[in-house]
Amino acid sequence: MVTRFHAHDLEVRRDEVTVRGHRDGKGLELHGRHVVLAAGAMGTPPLLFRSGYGKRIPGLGRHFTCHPQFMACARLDAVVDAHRGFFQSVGCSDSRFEERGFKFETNFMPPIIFSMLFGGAGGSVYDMIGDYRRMACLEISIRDDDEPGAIRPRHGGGTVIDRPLGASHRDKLADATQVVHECFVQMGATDTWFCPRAFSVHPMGGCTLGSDPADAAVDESFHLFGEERVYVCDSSTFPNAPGRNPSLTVMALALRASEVMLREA
Amino acid sequence: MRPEPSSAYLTGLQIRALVRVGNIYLPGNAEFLSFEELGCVEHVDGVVAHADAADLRMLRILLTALWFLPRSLLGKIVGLGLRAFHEDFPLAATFRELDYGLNGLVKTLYFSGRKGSTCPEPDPLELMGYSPKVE
Repeated sequence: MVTRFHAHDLEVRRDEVTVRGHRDGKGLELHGRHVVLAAGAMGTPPLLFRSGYGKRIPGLGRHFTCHPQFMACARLDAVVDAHRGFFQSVGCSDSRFEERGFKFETNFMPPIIFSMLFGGAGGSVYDMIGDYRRMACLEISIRDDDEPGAIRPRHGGGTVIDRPLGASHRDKLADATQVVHECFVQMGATDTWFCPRAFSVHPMGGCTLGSDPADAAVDESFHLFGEERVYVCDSSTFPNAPGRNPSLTVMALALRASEVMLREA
Repeated sequence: MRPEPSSAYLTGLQIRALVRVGNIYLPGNAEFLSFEELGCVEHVDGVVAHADAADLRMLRILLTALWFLPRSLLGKIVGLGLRAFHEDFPLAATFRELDYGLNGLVKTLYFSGRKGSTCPEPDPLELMGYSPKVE
């Protein structure tokens, strides 16, 4: 087991795969008969671009999706202490939200995120954080069925994620915002805020499953196109956004991929 | 006088620029210390050590450039970074990126629960009553 290893790129040879990277600041190479890439939608496509697959597989980096997410918060008279208790322990089975293309999560915001999203700069930061314990918050997650985005290498190093908000995203956000506002008012909120900064903790795609290398990067047996020794199994293989949290789908794909690998071993 | 923090990633000039920017985002008030007074910049390496190499290179260039700007202009740049999330204007996307980089770094340090080695005051998390624990 090698921990704290930061993989940079890989090279496939006739009998083995070499993964190059560094560990504690020192260069290190790992060798194996096969490699399973599971660095996620933010990690796997960039690693493959650095390994020179961008030209060989035109579909690499395409179909990046992410469920754009937005935070809303409300100031209440009573102390809420949103950081205490069991998070996400209350669900909503009302299918009308899902039909309208959004869902809510009862996430709380730790002070770093809270102050960054809502605090701004100067005195306004302290107006907000001074009332931190009386702030309720709700996360809006938008189904990502607009035109998909892309992930690609940035000139000079790094990675660019190109995922603009489309009209469909904005319509759903406006709809969801109205619902959240009504919820907050019903709770007796004295003030409400909706942060315009989109973020996402559900990056998906960029190395999608498919049959055409022009549009995908991984075949139905989880092999990188043209590379029998390289498997990919993480959220980067999602051909589109499921509209709900991706963890269970990643686990299901891992189970399916492990069956394929055992069969081919 | 507070000793200047050392960093394996940023020069003294870049650290001083970060402190100037930090004081614009977090100037302090009667209850909370300013970014500089808290001394949390001592822990900057704990944050930037995990940054992407290209992002770190850009951060160094940015902080070096910001050091030479007068405070009033720094304040305008920070303001444009925040405004860029509410309205569109030329270079708004660049200002949004700039805000994510600077605002994120400054707030991460300030609300990390860590403070300078010579700071006797309570840190912001204590003042906010933020004390998460597993029960």
